[in-house]
Amino acid sequence: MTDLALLTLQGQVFDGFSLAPRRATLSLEGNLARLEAGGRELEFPLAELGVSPRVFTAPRFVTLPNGWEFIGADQPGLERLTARSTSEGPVAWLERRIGVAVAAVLATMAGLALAYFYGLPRLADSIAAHITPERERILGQSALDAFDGTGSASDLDDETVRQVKDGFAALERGLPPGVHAELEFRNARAIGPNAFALPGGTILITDQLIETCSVDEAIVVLAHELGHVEHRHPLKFVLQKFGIGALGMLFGDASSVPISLSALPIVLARSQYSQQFEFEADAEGFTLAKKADYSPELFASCLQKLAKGSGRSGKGKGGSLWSYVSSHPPDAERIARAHAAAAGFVSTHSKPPSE
Amino acid sequence: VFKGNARDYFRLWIVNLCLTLVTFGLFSAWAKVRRKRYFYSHTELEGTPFEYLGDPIPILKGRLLAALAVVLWYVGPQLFPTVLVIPLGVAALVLLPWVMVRTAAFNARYSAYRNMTFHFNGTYRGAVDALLRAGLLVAVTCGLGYPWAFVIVRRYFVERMSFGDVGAKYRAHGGLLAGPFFASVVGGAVVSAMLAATLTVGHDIETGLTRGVLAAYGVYALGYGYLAARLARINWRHTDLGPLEFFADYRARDFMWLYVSNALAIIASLGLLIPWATVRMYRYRIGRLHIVRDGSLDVFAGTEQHALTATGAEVADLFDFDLSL
Repeated sequence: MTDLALLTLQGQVFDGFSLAPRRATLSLEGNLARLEAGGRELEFPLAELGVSPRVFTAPRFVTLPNGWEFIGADQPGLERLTARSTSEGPVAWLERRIGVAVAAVLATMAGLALAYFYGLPRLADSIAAHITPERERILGQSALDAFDGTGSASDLDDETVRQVKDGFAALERGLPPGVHAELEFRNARAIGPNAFALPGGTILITDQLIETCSVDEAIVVLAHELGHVEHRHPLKFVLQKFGIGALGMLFGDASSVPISLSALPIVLARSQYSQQFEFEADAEGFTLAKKADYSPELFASCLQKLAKGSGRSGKGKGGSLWSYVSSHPPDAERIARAHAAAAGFVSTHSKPPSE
Repeated sequence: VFKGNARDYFRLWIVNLCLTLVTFGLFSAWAKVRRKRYFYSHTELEGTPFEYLGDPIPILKGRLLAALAVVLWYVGPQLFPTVLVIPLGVAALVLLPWVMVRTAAFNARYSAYRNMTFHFNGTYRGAVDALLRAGLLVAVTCGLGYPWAFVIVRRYFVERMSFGDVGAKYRAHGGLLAGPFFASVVGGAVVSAMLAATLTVGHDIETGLTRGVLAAYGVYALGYGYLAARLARINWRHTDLGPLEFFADYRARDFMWLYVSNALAIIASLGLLIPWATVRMYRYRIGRLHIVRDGSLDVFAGTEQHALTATGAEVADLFDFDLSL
């Protein structure tokens, strides 16, 4: 039997107490291992020897029962010895096969895509379903507290506030039962015209938004934010962000580039989720607006006003690099969708925006 | 001398990545051992390779614990903002020296050369002391004392390291490091300001931002390359281990080139060239690190070995502390 054939290895032996290398010959025969080093000859039972896992063509380390270590070139015959690591043999086998490498590339890409487009959103949905609205409201409260550090109470006159609140109430009637939302007004010069949906259903609108756009336009923006609330986007976004971070950790050994580079794909992945949420909220917002008798055209005109104010070219650059890392989709596309949603809609009370 | 190659490492890397994904991260402990074993056993000094002895099971336990800590760290304050922020912050500060000491000890204990392991005999108290002194120095000097603080911490961690019975020595002082540190900070700021002025004028905000972000990445990579090369060179120059002296002739422009080209290659290949980039950087670092022997190796003698838990090392891994610099 070949298993029992004599196997002779040339190498070096180290006793663990001195760095001086000694040339040695290790012979394996039957159940015995014989070591010859510096004129001495030692014999051990083969079963008491341990061998390090195979790592491509690197030398192997053989531990001897007396604490010595033999280091020699890799040879297939070494598999006869007890492996020091039981799990790495199969892995080493996989690594040697080019087909496995190709399959692993494909499987990894498929796995990442699956996790990104299917796994994480589903996971976020089911975790969100287990988080009670009360718990979610605490989350929102801390976000509101953080916001109040930069803004102050609203300075709007009571009449404007009443109009916005009435419109908001009309929108809320279009929501499915069980969805809870609250409206908060803040004066936030530093942030400018904007509105936010916070976890727990609180919607924040800045005075600047109502001043930049008209009251009716602001109400349609609130419809968009209600779309976020209805789909629990703020909570899901927090959860999915966390999932992306966990996926990113898989690539943790990219030490060959400055650390911050690894942030790039994470930012990219995150903003794609966010853009998707924006489109969803837009669509839902248009539906809510129409139910409450407001035209989606108002959304388009408001976006245009906001773009003008912030120095963005109102059309938005669909193809620019920026559109991929931005948290919001390009304005042009959103405006086009608003026009499409408004097609054929005739409002009974609010006039189309004046030119 | 590093004898590995990108092709082999790519196979190892992709199998690791795939198995880690399939096992929802559990395999990552085995992956880490496998990766370290690859680099160690392909790195030879005077004809003998290094050996990595780490065991995946303690690493796995450590990773699970670390994952728990991460969840607590990120999720806790969101759910209970007022109650948890202060205790978590204090806990992190108290645990940081422990994590650093454990990491150093674990890595040393499981790194072997010629059947002798390295050893780290730092203590929690000693690390706290070094970190406190460094932190105080930075606070008192409004950050200007950073190079000196860096030396305090590094000296502690290097000089507690030993191989056989011989302890390492670290002889650099803050004055040596101050040059590269301030040059990179000031240079980075000046170049950024100049770029900001020239790139953004006359464009709308989106184009300006895009250009600005790209330029910031470029400046950052170059500054980082310069600083990493200079620091590593000074650190090795002033570190010795008994009769062994180290000399690394790293050039700043090589580091810059490696970082920038690696980054571009990784982006262009959607990450598939990560192993190639890793091997390339490692080969440069090892290839230009020279070890000069001045005296006999007989001074190294084997010592008693103690098993250590991997938890500390794992927490540091997950929180991304780069202790080696």
